[in-house]
Amino acid sequence: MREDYVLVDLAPDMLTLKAVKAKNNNARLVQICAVNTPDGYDLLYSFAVDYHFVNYRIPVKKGDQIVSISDIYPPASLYENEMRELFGVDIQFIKLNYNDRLYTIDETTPFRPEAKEEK
Amino acid sequence: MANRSVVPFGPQHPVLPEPIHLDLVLEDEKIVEAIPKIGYVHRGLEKLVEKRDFNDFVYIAERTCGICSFMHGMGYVEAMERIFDAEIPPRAKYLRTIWCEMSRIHSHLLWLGLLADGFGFEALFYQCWRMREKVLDMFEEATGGRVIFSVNKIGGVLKDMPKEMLAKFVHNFNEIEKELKDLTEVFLTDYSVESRLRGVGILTRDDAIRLGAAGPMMRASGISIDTRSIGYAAYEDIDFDIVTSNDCDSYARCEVRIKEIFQSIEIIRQAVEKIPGGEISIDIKGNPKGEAFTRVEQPRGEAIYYCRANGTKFLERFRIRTPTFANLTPMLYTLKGAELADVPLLILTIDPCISCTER
Repeated sequence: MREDYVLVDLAPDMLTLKAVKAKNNNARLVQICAVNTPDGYDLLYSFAVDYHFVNYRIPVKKGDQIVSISDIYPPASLYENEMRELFGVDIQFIKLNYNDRLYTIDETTPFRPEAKEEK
Repeated sequence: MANRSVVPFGPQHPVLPEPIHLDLVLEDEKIVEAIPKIGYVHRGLEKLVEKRDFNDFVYIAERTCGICSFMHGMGYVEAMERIFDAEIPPRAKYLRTIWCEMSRIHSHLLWLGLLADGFGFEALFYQCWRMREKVLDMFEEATGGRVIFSVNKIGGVLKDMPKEMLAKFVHNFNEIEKELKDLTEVFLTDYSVESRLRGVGILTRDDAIRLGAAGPMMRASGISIDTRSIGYAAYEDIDFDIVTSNDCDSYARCEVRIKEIFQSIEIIRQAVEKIPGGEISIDIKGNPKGEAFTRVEQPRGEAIYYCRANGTKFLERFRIRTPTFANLTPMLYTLKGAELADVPLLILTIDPCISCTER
């Protein structure tokens, strides 16, 4: 059997509202990740209530800011630090901000296409 | 006023075989805050997907971790099979289920051994790891590997297990089950073990949801969620009850994991009884296009796999959200208010796998 899940496109300014709604619905934050796109990123936010799995895809242009949801969901801090450090996503107001020192790596935003190739 | 001090913990610590560092802020012997630092073994495996053929990437996905290797490979191929909209043969689903449960058994036995070592019960540690060796022997017989198995492929599995081998494995697991009953007695009733685990590291049901806990860490807080219930691989044909505990402490986490070993043995028995004959894989043609999420219940909890493909042989993105990554925030929460001497055990009770986490 293959699991059914929902993947919905969402505008960046709707993120906080959706996160608050998810929280009020007793949903748990499952994951957040970034995917490179030609003009920036797709950010994928996944929530679950019991087994019901809902994902939001938020297109963000490079250089645009997005607000952290770590005030609503404390575990979001780690995911947001990861996206910021590996992809360079500009996330504001992360509760526990590592300032790009979550991972011990030399490269700046190594997961971006323009990142320097290691020989 | 109590004295405040900061004690660095890890990344190398006698009790903790995982490279995680914590700055523990103490008031006398009590922890008031714990600030984590990971990143010592970050490998960027997810990035490699852009340069490896999607078929070959199975072997890299498997190398995410040496303990959960089989299921990382399986999570990746299930996501790719979803993109291809491919239905794999039933026998392959059952074989995957059996190997998943064997992985869970050896992972939980490894953890029990580390826990015993953590509170200085060396004889118990040796017994757990001796039993784990038997599971690894069976893996070696079935797949040729003890750590990395390389039996998953997009469209099924690469190796079959004959009837005689399956019967032998069931016999071996029956023997392991008998031995495990004796060990269970020690883990769950011994005074010295209980005194280290009871009432330590409380994570309530509400906090487990709020902080995004996963797997046994969550089920030990009374939440009945096990991703196997969504029915991936052959789990839709298997009868099993989700193991939970309402005690919400370190003892509960130990109890849940021990009971899950017995449950895994029962699942293997059922799978061997029900496994159908036939092919073990189908051919997948062309390049993938699209995106998919899959979820797999790893020994440490729910793991999320995401793949995005653009119609070429190189994927655009592969993402793993490992259960340890999810359990870091609840772990930090349980550390607050704990005694310094309990820190190693509290970290152990989330069954941390930092190499998974850092990918």
